Amino acid sequence: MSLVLDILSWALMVTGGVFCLLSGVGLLRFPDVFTRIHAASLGDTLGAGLILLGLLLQAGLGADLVGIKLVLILVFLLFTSPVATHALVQAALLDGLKPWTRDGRPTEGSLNPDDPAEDDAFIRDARDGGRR
Amino acid sequence: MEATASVFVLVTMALALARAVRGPTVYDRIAAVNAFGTMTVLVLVLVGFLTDRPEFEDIALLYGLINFAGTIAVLKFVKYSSLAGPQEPRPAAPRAEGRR
Repeated sequence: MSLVLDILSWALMVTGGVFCLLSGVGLLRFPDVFTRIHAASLGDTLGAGLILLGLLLQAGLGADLVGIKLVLILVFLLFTSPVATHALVQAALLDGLKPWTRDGRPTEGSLNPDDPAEDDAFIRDARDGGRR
Repeated sequence: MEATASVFVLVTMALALARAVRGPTVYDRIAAVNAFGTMTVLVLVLVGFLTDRPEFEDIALLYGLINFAGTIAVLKFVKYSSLAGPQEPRPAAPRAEGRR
């Protein structure tokens, strides 16, 4: 039983480490802000979650608070990291940065107030609400 | 096995640091620093398990809290040039007596 737990914990931790590494490579090599933030959020949730789960299999939920604290860190990361990512992307969009596309054409939801073709009500609301 | 995961996480920290130095926009830098902070939490937990010192988990928990609050604070500072929010001329509220 202990061997099975060890192997499972090892697999989870190495998978989490590989996901962290992938998110770092994406953060360095992707072409614009939004894709880079996407890559970073992958490591924040999946990489950290898998590593913490692997450690939790070793610690166990005993009475010495080690496992409890691991669960606390995991829950806290799972709540705050998407919130921070969302705030970051919204700030970048409201600042007028354009999402990268392969052929250079703008996407539907560009946040340019001078663009007459822009009629996405959701984006308009987000922009006006963000400036209020 | 904690050592393997630690090496992966440390390499990720180096990559995020490179993006934070290079990043053309300020949002690149904030995203990189946020990822760096998350990886710091992981390194703290892993080192705590490697050296068999569970106190490191408290530091990791606190670092996660500070990382989130710091990211939001820096974003707000970048957006409004002030931590107090948008600077609009506001009508002066009538001051309640006896309140500071």
